[in-house]
Amino acid sequence: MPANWTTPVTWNVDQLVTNDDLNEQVRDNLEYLLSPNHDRILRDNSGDYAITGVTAFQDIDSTNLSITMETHGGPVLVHFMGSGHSNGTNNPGYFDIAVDGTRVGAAFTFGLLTLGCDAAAWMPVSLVVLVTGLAAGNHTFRPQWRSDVSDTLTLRASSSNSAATFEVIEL
Amino acid sequence: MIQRTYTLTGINRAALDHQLAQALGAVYGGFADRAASDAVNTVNVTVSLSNAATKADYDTLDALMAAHDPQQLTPEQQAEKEQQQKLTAARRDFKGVDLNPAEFTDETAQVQVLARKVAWLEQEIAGLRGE
Repeated sequence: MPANWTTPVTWNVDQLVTNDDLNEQVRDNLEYLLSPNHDRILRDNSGDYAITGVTAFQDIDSTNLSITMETHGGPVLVHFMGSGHSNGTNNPGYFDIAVDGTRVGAAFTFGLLTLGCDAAAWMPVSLVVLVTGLAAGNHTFRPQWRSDVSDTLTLRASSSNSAATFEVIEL
Repeated sequence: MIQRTYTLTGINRAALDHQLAQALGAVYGGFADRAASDAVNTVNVTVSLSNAATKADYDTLDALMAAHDPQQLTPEQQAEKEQQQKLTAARRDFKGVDLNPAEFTDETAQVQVLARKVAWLEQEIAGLRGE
């Protein structure tokens, strides 16, 4: 279990340093830096995820592809990876990351990533984004997706084929 | 956005999307589906409707979801199926029967050229199909 992070103290001249101070400031903070806040999901959904005609971004799975983490104000690296395809050669899919319900790529109609794919092949989906400016506290991270009107976008997530991987680490 | 989840035995995504879009119009926001964990071929389908949806829209949605038949094809799916059947029948009827340009020597020069070109195309397609 990684130690928790404590804001470093600015030491004063002649300040008495106790074993508790050293344990907190040196041991625990070093242990935290070696293994910072992180979580990873290898999702087995017992079958594919799919959306059809979903033209507004929504969570892929708000229960099982969701990571809530208490951060300390540092940048957070978020990674989503999977295997996707659509139901036609001109039917791309779109992916984004939501932090506390707000998309990182909200300023972009199609989010952070456009997946140009077709019905005949599974294509890799790999989305990595550095989230900055988060205040210390609990934050929830979720991958989101959308399609175009009448299009179907499918994502593998089964032990019989491939996992949907979602991981978050505070740097 | 409001979402409702239904459990269906099988799904025809194109047909369901077509039916819902036709019946619900602008309040329809697509659907997500995923395998239900408790049974094979059973899927949980979550339909999104805009906040403008009325009770009548929900009633329509409930009725359509209850009546969904994955075997019922859209006109496009039906046409594609019939086209595939025709292609399968033609492949069966002409398998191993290559066009022989020598059988056209009594025809005009133009027809003979046409026969040779059709024979060539036949071989090209067979090569592409790995036959």
